[in-house]
Amino acid sequence: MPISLNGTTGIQFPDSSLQTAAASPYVLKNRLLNGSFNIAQRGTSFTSGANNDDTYNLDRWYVLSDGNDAVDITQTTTVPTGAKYSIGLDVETANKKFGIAQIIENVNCYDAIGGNVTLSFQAKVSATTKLDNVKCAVIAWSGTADTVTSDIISAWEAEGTNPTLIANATYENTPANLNVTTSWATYSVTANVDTASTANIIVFIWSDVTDTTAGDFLHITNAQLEIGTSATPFERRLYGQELDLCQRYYEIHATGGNSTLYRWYGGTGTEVCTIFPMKVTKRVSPTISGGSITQGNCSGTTFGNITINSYRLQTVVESTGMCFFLFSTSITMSAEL
Amino acid sequence: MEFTYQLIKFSPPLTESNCIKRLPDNAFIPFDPANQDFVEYNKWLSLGNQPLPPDAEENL
Repeated sequence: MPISLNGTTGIQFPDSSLQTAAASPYVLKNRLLNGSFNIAQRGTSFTSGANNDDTYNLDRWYVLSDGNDAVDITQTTTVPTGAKYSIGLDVETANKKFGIAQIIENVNCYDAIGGNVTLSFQAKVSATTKLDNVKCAVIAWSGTADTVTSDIISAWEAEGTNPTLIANATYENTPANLNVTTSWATYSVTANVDTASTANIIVFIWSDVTDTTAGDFLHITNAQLEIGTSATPFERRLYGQELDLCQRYYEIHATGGNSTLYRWYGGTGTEVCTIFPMKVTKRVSPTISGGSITQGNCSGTTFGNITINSYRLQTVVESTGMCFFLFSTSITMSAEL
Repeated sequence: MEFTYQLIKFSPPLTESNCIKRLPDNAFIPFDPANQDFVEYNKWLSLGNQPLPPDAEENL
């Protein structure tokens, strides 16, 4: 069978495969990171407290909601064919709008600004009785590049009315009800990123209803933002590649549980330190959190000299001899936008 | 969450510190103008707030 060109269906090859849209000319076309929701360095379940409005959860994604604890967030195995995970948004506080967002760093979207981009993803809901209005938006940030106010919502507004955004955040498409059903389907929107002085692109997918019921689920996976006017097949990067890309923004050093031991020998009052390299060079010098330690014969332990590649941990020997400490909790490094 | 901040004491010869401690979550924020937490710290300062002095003996 010859190659057939059809203005309606696309290009059909001799093996009967069909190409419905032009192939992307870009290598690594998906400007969203962790669109598959496979990477979960912070954990796989985010409930009260960890699911607060404007808080990161699965790598690179953060929740936006009308108040805290609106939805529990999990990495779920409720997936369409070909996917391993989705993000599950489980209504916890009824009658609140909620969604997920990702801010794309300027160096990863500057070439998309000023032209058309297409956002696509797969989604389903547990029931359409309440979750019957899911929307998505491509949003331009026209403030200082990479200094984005992550809580882009100024007012959530009434059911069906698009949330009002903060200054310097602009919808680049006109968000409308996608009519998401209880079956997996792919949804896409195309937007022209034409707001003057756009420096970053933000993707936002949300439930726009205010009469939800606890236990309602919205599942999303295979999220992709690409240059052009067509939604092409989801780009599934290898796990290690995706993890590396995510670790530019967040990384865990030591896993806690006293599993990592450091020992020194020194005289009384001797200051000892260790430089710890990061696995991946960070976007900016990261904020270091969670460093709770168990220590012996040392005190004054603290962090310093945090750079995009390393940080220093120093302590003071209390009396001549060996001193040690163990990380009793994980140390995390965040360089998120 | 309402945050306050605290300076970090470094003893000689490691005198330089390039970060501030955020309370109550004990996050160490580097003085990097592109770090979002440092941006928030500067906003907090601009409101007339001042960080706490360092503890006599620093500990994580």
